[in-house]
Amino acid sequence: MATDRQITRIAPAGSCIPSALLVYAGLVFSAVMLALPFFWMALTSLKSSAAVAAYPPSWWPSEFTWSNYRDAWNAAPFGRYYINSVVTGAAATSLQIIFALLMAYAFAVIRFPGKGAILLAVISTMMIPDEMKLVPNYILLSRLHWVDTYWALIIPPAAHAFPVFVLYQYFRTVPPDLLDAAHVDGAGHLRILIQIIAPMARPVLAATALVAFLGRWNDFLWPLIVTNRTVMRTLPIGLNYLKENEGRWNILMAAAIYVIIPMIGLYVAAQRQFVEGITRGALKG
Amino acid sequence: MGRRTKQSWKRNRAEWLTFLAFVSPNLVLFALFTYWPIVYSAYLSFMDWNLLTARGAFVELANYRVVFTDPQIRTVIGNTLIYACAVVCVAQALAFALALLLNRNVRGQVFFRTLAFAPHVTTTAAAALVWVLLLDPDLGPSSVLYNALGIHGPHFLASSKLALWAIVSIGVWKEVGFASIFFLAGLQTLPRDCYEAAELETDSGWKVFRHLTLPLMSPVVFFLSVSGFIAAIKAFDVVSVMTQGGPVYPASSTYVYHLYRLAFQEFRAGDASAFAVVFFVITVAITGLQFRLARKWVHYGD
Amino acid sequence: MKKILHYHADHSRVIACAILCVTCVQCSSPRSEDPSGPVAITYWRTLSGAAGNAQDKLVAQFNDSQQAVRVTAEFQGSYTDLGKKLITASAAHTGPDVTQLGTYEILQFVRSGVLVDLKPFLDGPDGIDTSDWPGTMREAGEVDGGVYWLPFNVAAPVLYINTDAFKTASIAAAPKTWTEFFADTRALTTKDSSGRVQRAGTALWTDVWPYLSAIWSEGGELTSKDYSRITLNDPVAVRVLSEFQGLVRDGAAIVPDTASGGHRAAFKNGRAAMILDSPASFTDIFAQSAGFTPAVAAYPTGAAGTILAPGGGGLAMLAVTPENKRAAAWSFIRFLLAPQQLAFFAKESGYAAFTEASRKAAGDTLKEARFAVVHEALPHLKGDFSINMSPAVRESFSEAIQKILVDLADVNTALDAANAKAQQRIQNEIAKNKK
Repeated sequence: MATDRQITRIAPAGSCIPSALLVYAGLVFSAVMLALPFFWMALTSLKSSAAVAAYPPSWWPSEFTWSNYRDAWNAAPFGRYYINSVVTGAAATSLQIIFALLMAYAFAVIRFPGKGAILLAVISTMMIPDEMKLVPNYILLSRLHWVDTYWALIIPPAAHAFPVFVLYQYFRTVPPDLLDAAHVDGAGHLRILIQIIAPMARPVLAATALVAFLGRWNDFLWPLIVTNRTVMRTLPIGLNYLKENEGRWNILMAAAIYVIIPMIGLYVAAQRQFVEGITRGALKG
Repeated sequence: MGRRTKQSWKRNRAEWLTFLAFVSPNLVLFALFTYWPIVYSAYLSFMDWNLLTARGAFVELANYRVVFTDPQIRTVIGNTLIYACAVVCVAQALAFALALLLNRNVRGQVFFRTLAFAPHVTTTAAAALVWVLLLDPDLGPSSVLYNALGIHGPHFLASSKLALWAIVSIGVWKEVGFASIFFLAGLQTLPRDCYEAAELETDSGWKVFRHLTLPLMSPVVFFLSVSGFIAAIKAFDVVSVMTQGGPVYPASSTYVYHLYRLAFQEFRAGDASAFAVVFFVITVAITGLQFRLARKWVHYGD
Repeated sequence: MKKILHYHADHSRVIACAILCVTCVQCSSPRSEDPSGPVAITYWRTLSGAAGNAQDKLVAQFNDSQQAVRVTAEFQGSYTDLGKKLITASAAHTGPDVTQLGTYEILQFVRSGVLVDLKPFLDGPDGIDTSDWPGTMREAGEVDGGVYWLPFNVAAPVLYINTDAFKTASIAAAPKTWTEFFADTRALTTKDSSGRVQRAGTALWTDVWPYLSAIWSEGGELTSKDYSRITLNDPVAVRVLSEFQGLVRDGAAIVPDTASGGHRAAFKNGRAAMILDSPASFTDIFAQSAGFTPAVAAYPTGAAGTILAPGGGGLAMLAVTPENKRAAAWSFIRFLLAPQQLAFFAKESGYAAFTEASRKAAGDTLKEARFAVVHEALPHLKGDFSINMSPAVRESFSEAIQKILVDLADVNTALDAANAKAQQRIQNEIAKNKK
């Protein structure tokens, strides 16, 4: 590949073999640094209680204690946590994407006075830390009697500026001729959006949906504050509960793996589409 | 003529109504769950309230005076900037280098790309937990090394000098792989004809990189640095799980953790709100500046 | 053209309706209660594992024991998480009726009117006889003449010892006094030929709790209950903490990472021969100690006798509880603190059956050596949480401990600085509390 050959030049001049070696050394080093926490997490989750406290710790346990995973599962209602995380995450993500689709289309295509100012007001919401919204939102939710319900986990996060921004950037690259043609055919905005624009934007939609779902899945403080009963809790809160049992690092790490595996799986499976989608949306000026 | 104006007004009205209908689901939610909290925080920033009593007392600008005279504020802002710079600049420089390496048709790309994503999608609470263990000089993997060398390893989390760097390293770890995947995607779409032309003009790899690769990649750099900055400046979870700003507060505290702690640990919600308002103004300004500066150095292909 | 217009108009109307439906979701009416049915009480609790399950069992026992009150227990995570949730709920003027509560928030909550004064209930016809409560435990939750917090899950600090290490060092028994403790720590430390420490006498942690009892027992005092006299640099505190720092300097004590629960790990894997800790770790420590026999001994005593800082938490009633539900809420608190229930809780959880009557109720089950140690310690508990209750004092002092034990800062300087900081910040706190 031409590109490859060209970029090779960036490496300091030198004979081919040492430079290839350097490249692999760099890659192996990075791989080790990136993977070490996961390795240690998995390793610790398989150690026996005595091995966890051992000094110095072993890099390979003499026996694998698979029962840690069963103990972690029984230490808290993880089945329920999974259901809550998936249901509220999927619901909030769907709403985020639907609402962002409508808004981004409106910003990109429909004429409206003062559109720029509204867009700015929407984008600036990304600069607000969630911690700042905690108390006012809790008060509001408590007035609505939504505390400790799915509503609390779905509705407040249903509007997010990030998918709006990415989709808006993408829609601006749609050729105007295409829209005009559709208009002439007598299609209204909603029909254009549903039948023409949204299908075109599928990779971008998928990518923003992944980002949204990840955000919901990993959210910690808000679910902690607005849910009271164990049956309403999500996975990160469940993990936090196990932290209470100090010293049981093996159980804790097994639980951590329960929490992170679905997201890693999802992103690994969808990574090409994800990168392509974000690139198409966010990187076009 | 008159009929035409009327028609265009009608047309406009329909367009406007459609626009409003399209944006209103999000705007209503933003109004309730984002703008209202800002207004509420702005109101609280003039009050002395501990969140517990029925209502607070109006104290004019006293809370803002606290923001600018707080003895801890300098450390907290410094920490936040160090963290944000590390996550934006250091992590991205590393990520770019990594992407350049990966772009050389190396073996095991699929494996590597998988690995690169994992830190970014890992729940911060879980990541911070394993890092607590990793950095422990007695229970972590480095213990074996220290033991062999006969030295006692550094206590990252118990040291006021090192705790911040522990937090920074998690931030960098989470960002590097993720950014490198985007850089790699960018590198793989670079137009090869440009490179062929450049090859005729110069022999210096650095020049090609500086004047061709970098400008072509600038949209990626811009996107990653803006989104990375917005996330980094709000850093909270890592601090909350790992150090709670300690070991001697505010050695490893960030701005958002500081205001959270003021409200929930020191019962100073009024002060915390003033901190929040100042934070919002500053971040909007910085992000605005980034966008303005971007016009100078970001080159979009078309 | 007209057709398009119609399209637009129709859709905008449809969408507007949809939005109305989404945003104005049913504002369900507050859960109305059947006046003739049982009174519903919500109880927020902390503690996971055995101590958590034991509380759920107690709630079930209570619900089975009568028909008038129905209690629902809701687990809220750690003391810190629970505290944050209570603060947020208070901001919205809501919250549970009864809650378990750590000691950090008591003062602020009381001064802000979040908690109900339990004294009228305590001394009323359906009260609790507190005459057999040890030491000054009844006073622990006293603020401005009212009683707002009652101890429930009580722990006395204990000393864990590695009996094998004691045998090797030819030390016959666990240290009885702090002087002996410091001497034994040095004697238990073993070094190899190159001078590297193989086993330290003790592993310390950077929390206020273990050192508070030592300072009190040696006759020191760090603050008066009303904070009018703050003496974090009390000469006794300086002396005691200098002793601890000396152990660290000599390699006789190690200070592992507190974040990873390191001091416990150091004891379990044999790197430290003793630790000062809570009996709440009994199960963990006895199950996971490898290669030696662990035992529990009484906390050392000092020049002023044995004065122990209690650990654990207690119960409180929130002011959001409507007047007509308070009697029901009290009946639940009273149930949890009754001898039978405290005894049950102690057996299940490892916390102390802290009243004389509950100890009797527990009978032989608590005779086992390690439980006996805890129960012999109970009369020495000092129910004074003033250090915990003020963020100014608590944080200043714990910073000093960190500086002394980890950074090996000069003890006098560190405590003087902490004292100055606490005194300066307390003015602000008191001023705000008065409002």
